[in-house]
Amino acid sequence: MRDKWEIVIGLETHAQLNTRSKMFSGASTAFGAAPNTQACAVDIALPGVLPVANREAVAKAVRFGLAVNGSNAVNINRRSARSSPAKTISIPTFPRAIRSASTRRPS
Amino acid sequence: MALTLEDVKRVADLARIAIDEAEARAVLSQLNDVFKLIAEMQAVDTRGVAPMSHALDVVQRLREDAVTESDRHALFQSVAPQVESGLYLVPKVIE
Amino acid sequence: MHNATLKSLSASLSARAFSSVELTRHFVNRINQLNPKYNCFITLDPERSLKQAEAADRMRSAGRGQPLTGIPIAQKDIFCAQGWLTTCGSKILSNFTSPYDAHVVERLNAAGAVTLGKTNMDEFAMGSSSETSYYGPVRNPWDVDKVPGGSSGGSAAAVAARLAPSAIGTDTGGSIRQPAALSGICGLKPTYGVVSRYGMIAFASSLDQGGPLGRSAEDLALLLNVMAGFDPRDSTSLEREWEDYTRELGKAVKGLKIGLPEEFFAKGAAPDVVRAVETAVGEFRKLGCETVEVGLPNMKLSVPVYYVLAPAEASSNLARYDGVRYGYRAPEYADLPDMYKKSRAQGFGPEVKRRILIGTYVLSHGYYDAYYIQAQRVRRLIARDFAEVFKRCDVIMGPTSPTTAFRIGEKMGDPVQMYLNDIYTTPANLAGLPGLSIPCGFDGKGLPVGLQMIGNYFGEAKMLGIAHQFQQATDWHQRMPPGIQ
Repeated sequence: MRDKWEIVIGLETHAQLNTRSKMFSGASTAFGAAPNTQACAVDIALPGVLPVANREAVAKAVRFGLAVNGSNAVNINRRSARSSPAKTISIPTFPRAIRSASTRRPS
Repeated sequence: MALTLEDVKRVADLARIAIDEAEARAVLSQLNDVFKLIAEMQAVDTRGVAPMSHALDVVQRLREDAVTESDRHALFQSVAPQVESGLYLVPKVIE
Repeated sequence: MHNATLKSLSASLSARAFSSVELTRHFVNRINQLNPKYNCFITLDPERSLKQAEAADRMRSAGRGQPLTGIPIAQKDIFCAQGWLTTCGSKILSNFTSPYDAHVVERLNAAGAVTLGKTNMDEFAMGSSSETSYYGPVRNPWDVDKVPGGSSGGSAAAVAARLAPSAIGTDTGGSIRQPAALSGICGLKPTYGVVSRYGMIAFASSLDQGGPLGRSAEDLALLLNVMAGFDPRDSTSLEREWEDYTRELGKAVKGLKIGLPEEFFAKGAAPDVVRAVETAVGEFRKLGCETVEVGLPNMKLSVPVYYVLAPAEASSNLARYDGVRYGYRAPEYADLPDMYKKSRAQGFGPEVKRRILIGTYVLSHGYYDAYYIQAQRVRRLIARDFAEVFKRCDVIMGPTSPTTAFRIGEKMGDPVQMYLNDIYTTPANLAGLPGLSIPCGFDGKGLPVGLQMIGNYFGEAKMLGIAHQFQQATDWHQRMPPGIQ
C-alpha cells in the first residue's frame, strides 16, 4: 500500500525584499516606526493617486530568479502583463483591494 | 451568455456591494441587456491578435529605490471617518 | 467680459484693462445668479477664488505674468484640489476634502490660474448626460429641459452659459468631446499619456485623459500648453519635448487630406447632424482641402469593447472606496464585511453599481478570457484600422455624437440606449488617439451639432490649427445660447 504513494511537499515562501522604499511608492520601509507614519498618499490609496513600481524590487526579483536557476518552474517574463483574473481582497490594511497575480506567461 | 440571479448575487458579493432580492432582480435584466450588446464582440475571430492593454506600446517606467515621502499621517487622517491615536478604526475582525 | 475668449482676456489682463480680481468677481456674481438654473457647479468658494486672483494680480505686477495668469477656470470635480471638497459627483466622496492637488491643478496654479469652482459631472465620470450625479442633473444652456452631455457636462455648460471662460474635464469614452458637442463649445481629448492622470480620480486607467474645454481652438491650445507635460508620479505619463500647441494655428489647410469614414455617416446618426457635418466638410473643401472615403470596419465594436474594458478597470479602481480611510461610511453595520457592503451600496449610485458588477463579472474566474482578453484583442483591431486610415489621410472627420442634446430623463431607463451615444467617441479612447469637437451648426430645434476630428498620435497642434482655420471662416463657435447675454 505504502509503495503506491509518493510524497510531494511544496513550500510557498514569501520573502520581504530589503528595498529602501516600498514596491509602489517612495515611502520608507524602515522597521519600527509608529503605525501609519510611513503610509503615504499612494499607500492609503487616496482618490486619484497612482502607483509607480520600484526598479530595485524588480531587479532583486530577477536576481533571485537567476540564482535559483536550477528549477524548471522559474519563468522570468521579460514582458509581463496582468494575465489572470483579479482576486478581491477586502481587509482594511489592503486599500486597493484588488490583487492581481501574473500566473501565466502572457500570450 | 445570460446571467442568472445567482450570478448577480455572487458578483455583488465579490464587489463588496450589498444587494437585496428586489434590487438583484432589477439589475439582472439591465445587465443582461448590456451582455447582449457585448455578445457582438465575443463573436469576432481574434486568433493571432495580441491583446492591447495600452494605447502606445511603451515599457513600464520604473522608479528609483529612494525614500521620497515623509510622515503626513495627520493630514491624511483629517479626512478619515474614525481615527484614534493615529490608527484607523474599523469593526473588529476575528479570524 | 464674460463673452470674451481666454485669449482676449489674457491680453486685457496683460494690458491692465482690468484686474484678475475684477474679472473673477464678475464671474462669481454671474455664477451666483445663473448657476441655480443650470446646476453646473457642485462647489464654489468665492473667497478662495478671489485670494487666488489677488495672488495672480501680484504675479503680473511683478512681471511674472503668463498667458493663464489671473484667468478663472472651472474644474471638473474629478480633479483633486487641495482644501476643496472633491466629490466626483458621488455621495461616497461627498465629505472628501482633498489633502492634495492633482498634477494638472498644480500646473494651473503655477501658471497663476484661478480656480473658479468644481463642476458637476456624471458620478465617477460614468455617463453621457451628467444625469447620474448625486448633486442632480446639469441643464443644457441651449434648452434647460435637455442634457448638456456627459460626463463633463458641468464644465461644458459653464463655458456655454458664459459662467467661465474655459474649463477642464476628462474623457474616457467621449466625456469631453460629447458634452462639448451637445453644449455648442470646443473640447479636446489629448493623446493618451500627454496629460498626467495623477490626482484625476480614476475611472478606467488605460482610457482616461484630462483635457481642455473652451470656446475656440485657440483657447484650447493655450490651456493645453499648461496642462500637458511629463509627471513622474504617473507611470503612463510620456516624457517628451515640450510642445507649443498654438504653433500651427496660422497654418493654411490647403492640400490637407480629410478622411471621412463611411461608418460615421451610416444610418444611426440623425439627419440634421449629418447635414451640419457635411456642410462643415464643404467649408473645408472651400479652404482647399481634399476629402477621401475611408473605412474603419471594426468601429462598430467600439461600444461593446468599451463596455467590457471600462467597467473592468473601474471595478478595480473603485475598490478603494470602502469607508475605511476617507469618504462615506454607512452609519450602521454588523461587522467589517457588512460595513464595506453597506457603505458601497449606499454611497454609489445605480449606474456606478451596474458598471462595477459588469466589470467584476468579466474579470472573474472562468469569464476572463471570453470577455476581458477578447475585448483587448478587438481593441487592437480597432487601433489597427486607424493606423491604416492615417496612411491615406491627415485627419479624420465626422459627427461627435449621433444626436443633438436629448431630453433629461429620456434615456435613463435604458442603459444600452445611453451607451450607444458613445459610438463615435469611444474609438479614439480605445486607440489612445487625440480627438477634438468643435461646433459646426444646429439642428431644426436650434440645438448645437459638433464636428469631431480624430488625429494621429500627438496630432493635437495640427488639429487645433485645422479647427482654427475653420473658425476664421465660420462663426458657429461664437454663437450664444438664447437667453444668455
